[in-house]
Amino acid sequence: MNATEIASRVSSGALSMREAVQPYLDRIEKLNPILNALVHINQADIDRQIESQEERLKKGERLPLAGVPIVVKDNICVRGLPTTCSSKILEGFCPPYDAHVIQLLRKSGAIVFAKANCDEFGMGSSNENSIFGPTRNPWDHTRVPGGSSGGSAAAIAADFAPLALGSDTGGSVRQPAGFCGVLGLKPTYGRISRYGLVAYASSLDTIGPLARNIDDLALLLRAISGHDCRDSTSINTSEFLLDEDLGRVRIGIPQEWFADGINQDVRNRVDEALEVLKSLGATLIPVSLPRIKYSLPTYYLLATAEASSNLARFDGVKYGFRSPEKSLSLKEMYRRTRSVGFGREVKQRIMLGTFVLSSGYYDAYFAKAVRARAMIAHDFDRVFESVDFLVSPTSPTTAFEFGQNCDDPIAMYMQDIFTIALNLAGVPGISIPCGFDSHRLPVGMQIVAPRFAEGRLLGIAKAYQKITDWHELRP
Amino acid sequence: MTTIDRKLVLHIAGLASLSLTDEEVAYYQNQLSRIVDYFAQIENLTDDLGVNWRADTLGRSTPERPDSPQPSLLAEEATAAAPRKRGSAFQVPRIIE
Repeated sequence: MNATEIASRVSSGALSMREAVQPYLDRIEKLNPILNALVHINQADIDRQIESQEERLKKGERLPLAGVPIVVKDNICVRGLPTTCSSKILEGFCPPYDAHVIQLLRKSGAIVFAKANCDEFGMGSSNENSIFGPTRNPWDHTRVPGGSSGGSAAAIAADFAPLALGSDTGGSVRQPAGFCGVLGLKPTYGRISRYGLVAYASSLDTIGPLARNIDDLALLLRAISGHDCRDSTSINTSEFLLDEDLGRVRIGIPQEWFADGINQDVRNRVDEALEVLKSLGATLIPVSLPRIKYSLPTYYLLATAEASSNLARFDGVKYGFRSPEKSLSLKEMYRRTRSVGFGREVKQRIMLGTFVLSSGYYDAYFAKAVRARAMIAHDFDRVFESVDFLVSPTSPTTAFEFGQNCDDPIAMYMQDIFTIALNLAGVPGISIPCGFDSHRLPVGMQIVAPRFAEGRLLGIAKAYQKITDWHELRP
Repeated sequence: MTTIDRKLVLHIAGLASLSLTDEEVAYYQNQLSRIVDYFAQIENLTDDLGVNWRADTLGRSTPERPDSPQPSLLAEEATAAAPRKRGSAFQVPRIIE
């Protein structure tokens, strides 16, 4: 059953919330020890939620997500469940509050029932940087699910839940969605409140929904969108309507995104998907994003700078891990706590960010990157004056094997070559399954829209899903 | 082009409140050098930003909230996760030597 069906049947009384949730729990018990997609589940908390939500339903409240189980990435605060960001430095931390999106999910009748594995603090593209160990790709257990929302994407692919939340700072919802053969949306920056999302890079972070089909994704997106006065970058957005009419749609094909370096199977599947969109009435137009090649260095300059500031709060004082060594001065306590508490990749990014913000290097690196970002954003604004969408592969390859990119930082960062620019520009993008490679690994196609055009974006994705069935296939 | 040497790595680690072993210093020196070399391509970007450009991507103003007091976490809730506490205060090593 998909989320829309669950909500409808529970609301009508045809299905109890227990009957809706239990099959997923049974499946998790059987398969999660292999896949390691989920890291915290509390049965007593699930029981309490079911009891409370059923009470609301009995009173006649309208619950758009009645009884729908949802998996939440472990960097989103859920009161009563651990939020560790897959890091030792937050081991045992249980937030005293719910993130804004969690409050909205509870209000909608959803059952927030498990936390998903992820790369530590959202830093990674493979889910290999986690104190809980890596998550395995449900399509091939020797391969990564992608990251950093690898647990969330694997959970959808393995039918651990019909809906999931991840976070996307440079592709961390879209890339694992592509690797796992599911839908993943990075919304417009500002559409969804970041209150309660543990910050990695505040000007780039977004919370994003994952699902199998567009109706479910839209259901979740509607439930969690909207202004929140506790997030000063949160915007008043209006309700969106799915527009599936591709009659006069112009799809831009950025020439810079279709140059060398794409796996041939990935390229073929995306080309075939473009032909499908053409058959639905779309016109394909070559376009240029001339400065897109600077998006990767720009992103890593800005994201690591912001991360070095955001992660300064983890010092062993107020929560999480503190170095147990005695007779330390306060400063030594900070150093020992952070050195032991953070993993290798996180320390690397903190140091990079500290470097680019430091005296003597700030103007050459950080200040330049801020201007580069504005120029890249202008290129997107300009190209959207002549086309309605842009298309690219979600990633240059399909899911790679464990350990393949661990020693080469640039090779790992290059996984995000198509996704990163959207976070710089603040525009929405979705990864949609569009076929398989010769190893039967999923291929994702990324569709990009102008800011706040999620209605049209989900519409074109729905039109594509109506005449293909990639999203229905299971490992 | 910036040279990332051992001295710079230790300086950065100090700024970031990180202690590194000798092995880690060598590792991060290699990693940071490769990444900073890669960053250098941003030097080739021609800057054509005019005067009225924005550093953010929102493109529109965000709503303000009324300047009115809101409830905050109780001290017991805020200190519940503390590694060490005394009463409703976080306990830390001596600050003033």
